Amino acid sequence: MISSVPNTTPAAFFSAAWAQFDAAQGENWRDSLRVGGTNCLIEGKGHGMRQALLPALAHLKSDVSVAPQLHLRTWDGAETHGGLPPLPVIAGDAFEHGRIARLCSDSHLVIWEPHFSSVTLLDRIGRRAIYFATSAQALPYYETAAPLRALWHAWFSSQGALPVHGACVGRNGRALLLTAPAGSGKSTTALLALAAGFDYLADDWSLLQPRGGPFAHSLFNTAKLRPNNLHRFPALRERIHNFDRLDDEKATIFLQQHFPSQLRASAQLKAIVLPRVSGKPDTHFERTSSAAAWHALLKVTAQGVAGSGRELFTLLGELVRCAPVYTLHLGHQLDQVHRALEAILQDE
Amino acid sequence: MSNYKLASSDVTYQLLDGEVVAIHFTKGIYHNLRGAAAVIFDALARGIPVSQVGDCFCGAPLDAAATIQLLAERFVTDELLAVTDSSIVASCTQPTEVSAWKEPVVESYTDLQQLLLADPIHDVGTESWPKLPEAPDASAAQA
Repeated sequence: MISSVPNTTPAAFFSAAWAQFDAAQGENWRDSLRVGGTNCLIEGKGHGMRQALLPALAHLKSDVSVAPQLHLRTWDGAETHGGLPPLPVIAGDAFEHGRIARLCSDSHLVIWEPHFSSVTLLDRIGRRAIYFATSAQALPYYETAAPLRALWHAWFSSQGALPVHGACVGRNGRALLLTAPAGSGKSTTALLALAAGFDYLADDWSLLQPRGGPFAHSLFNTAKLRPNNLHRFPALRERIHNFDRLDDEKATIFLQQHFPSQLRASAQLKAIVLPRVSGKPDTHFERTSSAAAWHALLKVTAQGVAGSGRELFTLLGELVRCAPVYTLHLGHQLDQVHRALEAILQDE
Repeated sequence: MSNYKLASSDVTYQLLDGEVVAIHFTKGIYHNLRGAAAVIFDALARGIPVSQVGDCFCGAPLDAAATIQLLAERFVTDELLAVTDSSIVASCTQPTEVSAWKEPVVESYTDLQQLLLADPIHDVGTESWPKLPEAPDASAAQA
C-alpha cells in the first residue's frame, strides 16, 4: 500500500521524471517524426523501446535537423534499469480515465495506463513529453501497433485535433474515415481499398483535424486483421509481423515495409463512413445522420485512448458536423466494396 | 413557468442534424434527444422561457405545452438543466427557427460511466509503480 507521499506539484513531478532519463542506462537514440504537422523529436534509451515504438511510426520519419515542436523522452525499466520518481499520490486521489488528477494542470498531464504498466507525461507549455513503461518487451501487440495514443491525444486535443478510432483511405488527396465497432468490417474494408490501389492513411487510429479542413492525418502504418479473416487476403500472409502468435493476437502488418508508395501522411477528409456487414450479396451506401457518426466514434475512441475526456466530446461534435456521413452496407461481393468507396468519394 | 439553463459546467451538449447529444461528465451519462425533445432542450438551454418554447414549432399537438413542461422537468431530474431566476435576462429569449413537431425521444446511456467517472486510486504501491501489484496467490489465500 502507499506508505509515503512526496509533496509535489505537477511541474515539479514532470521535471523530476524528465531528469530520470539521464539516469537510465543503455544506448541513447534519436529519431525525428512529423506527426499531424508537428515535428517530434523522440529521444530514447535502450533498444527495446525503439523496437516497440518505431515500426508503427516509421512512415512519419523526418529530418532530424528540423527544430522539434515536441520533445519526447522514452525508456523502460527492465532494459535500462531506470525508473520514475515515486508515485506522489495519496489513497483516494482522483483517477479519471487514466489521468492522475492531482498531477495534472493546465499545462501538465500524467496519464497512467496500469494494464500496460506505462505512464505518459506531457508538459504542454514546455513542449516536452515522457513515455515510460516497466518493460518495453511486455507491451501488448495492440500497444506497439498503435503506440503513444495517450500522448497524441493529449498533445493534439489542445490544438483542435484528435485521434479517433477509425481507418482512413482515399484517392488524390481526399480521404474517407471508416469507423465502426469491432467486427463491423472496418479493417476488411480498409484492406480491400489498399488492394484496389487506394491511398492508405490508417487502419485503426486516424488523427482528425476538424478546423481549417477538415483534414485526416496518418498516425500508424499498421494493419491488423483477425486471423479468421486472413483467407480474404492471401497476399498478406507472408507479410504478417506476428505470424507465430496468431492464437492470441490479431495479424499485424507494418505497411511501411511492404506498401510504402500507398501510404499518405495527410489528406482532406471527404466523408465519414460507417461500415455494417449486411449479410446480403451486394454492397450499397446511403447518407445518415451526424449523430450516428458521433455515437459510433465516441465509445470506440474513448475506450481506446487513456486520458481522453471532455475535449473528446467537443471535438467529435465538430468533426461530425464538418463532413457528410454515410452508412456502407457491406455485402458478400467484396469486389463491390472499393467501387462503393470510389462512389462516396465522388458523391456531391 | 420557469426559465432554465445548463445545470453546471459538468454538462455540455451538441446539436447535430437536429439531434441533441448531451453529456453529464460527473455522472458519466450521456443522452440522445431526438424530435421535439432536441428542439425543446436546445431552446431551454439557450434561455428561451419555457412559456415560449411552443413557438419553436409549427403543427404542434394540443398537449404540446404539457409535454414541454414534462420534458423540462425530466431534464432537471437528469441534472442536465436547472431552473434559473426568470428575472435574469437570458442570452436568447426568442425562438430563432420554427420546426415541425416530431415525437420527442429521449435515450440515456450509461455505457461510458466507467471511462468518464473519476475513481479513487487504490491498490498501488510506491515501490512497483507504474506496475499494478501482483494479484494475491490463490493457493496462499486458501491456506
